[in-house]
Amino acid sequence: MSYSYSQRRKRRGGRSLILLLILLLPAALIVLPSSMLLLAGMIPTIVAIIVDRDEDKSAALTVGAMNLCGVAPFIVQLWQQGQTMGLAMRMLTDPKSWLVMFGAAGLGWLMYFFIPQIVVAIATLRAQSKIKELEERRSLLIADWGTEIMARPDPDKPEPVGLMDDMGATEKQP
Amino acid sequence: MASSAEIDDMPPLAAKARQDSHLPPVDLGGRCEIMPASPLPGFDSAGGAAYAARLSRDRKTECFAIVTDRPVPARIEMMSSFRSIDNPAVTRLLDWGAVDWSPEGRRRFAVIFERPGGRRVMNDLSDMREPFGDDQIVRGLLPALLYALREMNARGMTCGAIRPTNLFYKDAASGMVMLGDCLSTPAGYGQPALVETIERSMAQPSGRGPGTIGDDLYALGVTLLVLHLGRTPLPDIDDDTIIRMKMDRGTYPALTGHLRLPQGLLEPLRGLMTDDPKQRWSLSDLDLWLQGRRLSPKQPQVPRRGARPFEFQGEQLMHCRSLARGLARNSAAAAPVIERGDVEKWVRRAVGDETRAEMVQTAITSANVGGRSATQEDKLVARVTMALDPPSPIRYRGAAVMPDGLGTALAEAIWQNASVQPYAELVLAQLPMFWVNCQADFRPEYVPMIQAYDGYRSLLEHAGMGFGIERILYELCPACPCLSPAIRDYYALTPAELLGALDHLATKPTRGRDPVDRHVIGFLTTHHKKLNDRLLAPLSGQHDPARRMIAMISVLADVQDRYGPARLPNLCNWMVSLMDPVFKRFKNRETREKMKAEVNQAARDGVLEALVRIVDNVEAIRADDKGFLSAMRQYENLTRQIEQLKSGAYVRSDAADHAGKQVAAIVTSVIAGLTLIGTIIFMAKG
Repeated sequence: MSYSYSQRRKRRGGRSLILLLILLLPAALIVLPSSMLLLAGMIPTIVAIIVDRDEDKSAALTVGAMNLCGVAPFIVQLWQQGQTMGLAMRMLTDPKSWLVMFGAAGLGWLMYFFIPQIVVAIATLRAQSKIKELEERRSLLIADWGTEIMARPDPDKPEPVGLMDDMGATEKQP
Repeated sequence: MASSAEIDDMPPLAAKARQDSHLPPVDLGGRCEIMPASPLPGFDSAGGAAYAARLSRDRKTECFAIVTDRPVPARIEMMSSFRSIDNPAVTRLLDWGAVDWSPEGRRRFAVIFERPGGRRVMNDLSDMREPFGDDQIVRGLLPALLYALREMNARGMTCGAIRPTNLFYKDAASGMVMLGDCLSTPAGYGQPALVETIERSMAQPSGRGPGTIGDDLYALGVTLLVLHLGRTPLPDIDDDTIIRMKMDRGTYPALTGHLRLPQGLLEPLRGLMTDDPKQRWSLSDLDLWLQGRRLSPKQPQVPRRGARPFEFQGEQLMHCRSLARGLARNSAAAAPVIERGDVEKWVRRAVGDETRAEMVQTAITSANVGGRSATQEDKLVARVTMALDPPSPIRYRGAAVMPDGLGTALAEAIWQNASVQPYAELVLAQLPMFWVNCQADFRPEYVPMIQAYDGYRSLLEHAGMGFGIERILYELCPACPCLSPAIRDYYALTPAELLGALDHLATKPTRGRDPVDRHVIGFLTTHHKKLNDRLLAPLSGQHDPARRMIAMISVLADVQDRYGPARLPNLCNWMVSLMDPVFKRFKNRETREKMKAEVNQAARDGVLEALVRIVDNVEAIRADDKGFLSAMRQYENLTRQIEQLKSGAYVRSDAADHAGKQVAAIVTSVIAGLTLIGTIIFMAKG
């Protein structure tokens, strides 16, 4: 199967992104300093989008969210101070700005790498607890029914009968 | 009361007598009291010692009890008929039953008789006493005893105990004589060889069978002779020689050949002592003679002799009967002689009896049917001796029994812990059937006997409980108490008494493991004919102890239900203590605990049926099995889950990785969202 559902979905997603960029382009031109700052600051996210092969794009989402946190203070400052190209350029030439924006993205990458490890560790702990609970339930069954329940059920085993039932009740004298 | 020290100083017999004198009376069902402290040796019988007794409802009647102590059953089946005999020449039977015989701490069977006023006519056959005159015999003794025998015969019973030592004077003054006890032992058990017919005297005392009225009349004849002489006609001669003399010469010539008898007694004595049962005087012959009608005198029959003797083991044997006896005594030496055809040739040529020779040939042929076995020689000799002497007992490997006396002989063997193998083999080899085939006259009573022996053979071929030689014992001898070693001393004669005995035994620390053994089941299956035979198979099965146990309780419960007693708490507790395999049948612990509690509660009520209902409840069994299957599936399911979790498949799977990344995305999105809002608000305020 060469042309899979995921490939079609990816292609459709790519088309939507281009369409969105075309639609946003006029708005970006209107707020060009902000757009320029946003575009430069969100470079790690763009890289994450490109390198992330996951369908859900969880790396891009994780890095993007943190990256946006890093860019957001400069955008707000730019808007507060009149949104000029000069201010935007000053911000872009300030290494602190890059440190904050890219640092936030780096934090995002760290979270992307460590949170799954924590989740697995928690899942392992939960599994051990579950094993203990299941083993307790199993021990209770053995205590109630004996070790014979450890054998596999025999589907051909006949239904048990009482001795008297098996051979007919003792004949009774009238 | 003497102190124990005093008793220790006494000679043993005196000490025993002193102890016995303090024994309390023994109760017989509230109807009679037996005094162990008052023995009456003058009334001792073949069945046991006599003791003074007292009837509860009639204190005036003087009576005595025979407390049986022989290894043979009493003739209980005859007692009801015997009690109805009201004859001055018969000791009146008043009561009977098993009693707790306190001197021995066990139960014994007691028979209560009215006490004769006088003493025993003859204490021992070796004694000498004043002879009875012929007139005294013909006018007093003979009519009285004839009347007694007639009454017994009318009730379908024989006496089997007519002998000089079993006659008592009715009172001290008159010379009237009466018959003593004939019920405490099987017929013929206490009879010396002198008073028994030749064929019966060759049988062991316990295996003589009930006999016929003809046998009683023969015994009467010899008894009259002894009384007339005042001594035995053959003093200082042992039983073997007496039998040999009777065989060689015939009874009458052997006993009277050297005597001069009064004319008045010749005829009846000759008629009664005739060896051929067909020629022997009957009751009516004797009656007619007493009325004065003289019958044609019987000539003493001389047994058919061989033209030349048959030499066997150094003996010169002239008659078929004595040859049969000689062969039976040494079967190992007899078998080759028979197989060589010497016996048949001698019968054919020397005796000239073609019919008997043919019968001997048939015996040899029939003995070889079914191939040779270890006991082949004994079977061959047994058959040939029957062919040579048809009325004689079946003689096989040391046992000598009449076909209708096998039951009591078997009872004696088991009672004495002797081997029962010869008796079992005797039945399996169909010797009783051959005995019947050898008889010159076929009697109607042989038909049910043959059918019964056929059934017994089938019973013997089964090895399980409820079959085998023990079952045959009780079938042949219904009056025999249960001879299970554990409860033999309880003298249980009915199923109810047997259960009572087991209930009592249950309280003793010396009780065995199981209350039921082959004797108990044999006894119950014989006395409770409606018992479901299919319950017997699981009783023998050792591979399924639960089924065996339930079958055991079911059998006992059915017997209790039908015969009582109503409560058997000790036996119930005993059964409960053995019920572990039954509880294990239920797999659920809670069910088991609940069942144990219920069973213990039911055991207190003493009803065995209640125990069966609890442990053999099919609904409970099925529910438990269903629950068990469900538990098995649950266990399997849990095991699978545990194994999955232990393998860490989830933790190492893509799903876990994917979930982790999603969690990371969600967490960072939430953190970022909050941070963003916080930043905007903070900067907007600043």
